[in-house]
Amino acid sequence: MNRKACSIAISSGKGGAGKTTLSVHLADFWHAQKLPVALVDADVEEPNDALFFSFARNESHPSFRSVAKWDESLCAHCLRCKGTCAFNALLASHQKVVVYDTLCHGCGVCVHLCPHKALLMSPLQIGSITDGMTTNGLRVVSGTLDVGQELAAPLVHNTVTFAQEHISEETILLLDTAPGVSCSFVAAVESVDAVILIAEPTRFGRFDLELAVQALTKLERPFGVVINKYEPGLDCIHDYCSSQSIPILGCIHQDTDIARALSEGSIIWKDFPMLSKALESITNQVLDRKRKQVLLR
Amino acid sequence: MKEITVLSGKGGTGKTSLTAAFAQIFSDQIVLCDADVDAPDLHLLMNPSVLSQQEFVCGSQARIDPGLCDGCGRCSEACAFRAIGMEQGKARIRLNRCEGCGLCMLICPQKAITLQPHSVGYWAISKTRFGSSFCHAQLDPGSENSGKLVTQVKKESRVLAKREAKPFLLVDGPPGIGCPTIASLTGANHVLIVTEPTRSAIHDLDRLVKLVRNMNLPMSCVINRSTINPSLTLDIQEYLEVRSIKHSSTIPYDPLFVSALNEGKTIIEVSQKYQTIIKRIGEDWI
Repeated sequence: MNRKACSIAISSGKGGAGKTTLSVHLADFWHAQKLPVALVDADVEEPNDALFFSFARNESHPSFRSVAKWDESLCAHCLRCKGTCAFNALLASHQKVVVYDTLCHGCGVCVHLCPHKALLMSPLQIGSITDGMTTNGLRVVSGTLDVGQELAAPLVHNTVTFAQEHISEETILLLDTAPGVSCSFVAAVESVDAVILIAEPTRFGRFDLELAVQALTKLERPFGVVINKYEPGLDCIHDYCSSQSIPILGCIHQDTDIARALSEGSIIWKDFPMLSKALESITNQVLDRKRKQVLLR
Repeated sequence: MKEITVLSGKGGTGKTSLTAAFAQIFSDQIVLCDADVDAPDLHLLMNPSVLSQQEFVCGSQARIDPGLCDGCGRCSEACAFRAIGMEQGKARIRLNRCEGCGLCMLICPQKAITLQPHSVGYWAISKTRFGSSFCHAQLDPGSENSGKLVTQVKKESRVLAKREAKPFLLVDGPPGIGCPTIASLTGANHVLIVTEPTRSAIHDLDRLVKLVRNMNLPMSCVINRSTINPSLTLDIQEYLEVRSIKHSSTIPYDPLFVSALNEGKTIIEVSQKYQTIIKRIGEDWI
């Protein structure tokens, strides 16, 4: 990817830590401050960012990945392809060859091995990418995996590439990623400049934060932490971050009124001074580190 | 033996907190399985004593012998996963992208590429502090194949349940609807969905219900933190009724869930009233 502009992912090991909340609010806050920003929902299994906005326009594009396809008329039943698929997606017998679309990773080994060109790559629709403009003029790009498709990472890649190709280089891309620390998460963070990890101060939150830190260290991505649902006395994330010299970019306090307002799927930072202050702190920290080029940790 | 998978679509709705409570109450009837191998948290409440632990070797990864590589770049062009880059006239594998298909090995004219077995994490068999057998795992952060590791822990759990003649296998599932979730559903007899009254959770619930329907599995649903938004709670109840999905219980928002978790306890251990609630939900599958 040749894109020079900045992209920042918002991630968390644990689900429900507040990725979507932070993503939609930070994007809306930056947009209100006239910072050039676009929001990219790369949590394609459960994309929820768009629920928080009303749209002036929305275009949906089908998204594909390549899978192997068998052409019976060309097959000589030589069984050269049998047992060669690393993903168990291909069954070959003297009567026929079956390729299971959802299991096929599209590597092309069977296509390469077939001497009769009876196996070829063909596109399989796996979901869609929605390119939207909110009524306030914020660009929101979302990937949505079709229900029943197993492989999410190719659509994450397609969604991020779509945003990089269609949005101007001056625009900062904010990427809302899938939870966890495997394929979908890696596909979203591998090309970003920095990652904001959001974590809640519970045993689960801390354990999963450590996993995300291990993954990002391995991937050599810089990161900082935002603490969500903080309550006085619940300092496990603070303690962990200071012991590891991980910058804390902001802290959002537990507040049942906020939880209630968020449940409606609305952008609410203007109604809660605590929230807008936290967003301001996160913004200053991120931009300051970006300017000094000491990108997070 | 009946297999029950606890899922939610959206993360953080309370799957693991509820599974831990079931694991306490029904400890003599179940084998427990944590199928959220990406971010497994159940062990933090089960305090398991580990009986055996094994590396999970799954598939392979390509290795290039730089002495043999002449830098022709054919492997880099052919790789569907963009996992091979060219650096200083030599091919180099980006390990976090390599899926181990072996295409590069097949096409390398110099035979400079081999496939090596690839370890992506470990799985373990333990006893929970309530006495049940417990199969859990940890994927190496940043690795692939979480779906295959889910399949592995489920397979081992079934063997345990059969050996111990336990009537139930209780599986704490991952968030999302992709391959690890589908792996956690394969072979299930009942799906317990934990949701909450937020627009995001309802959107995710709908996608999960479609997936479970496509797989023809019976399901029931718990609405957690119902008092956060009573009107959305009613919407969910209606959603379930229209689709004839059993609404098994409604649990009001309770800050005790967070305190229990931070003390490493189940919700029942901090508040007795949950004993009845959890038992009643368990009747869905018993």
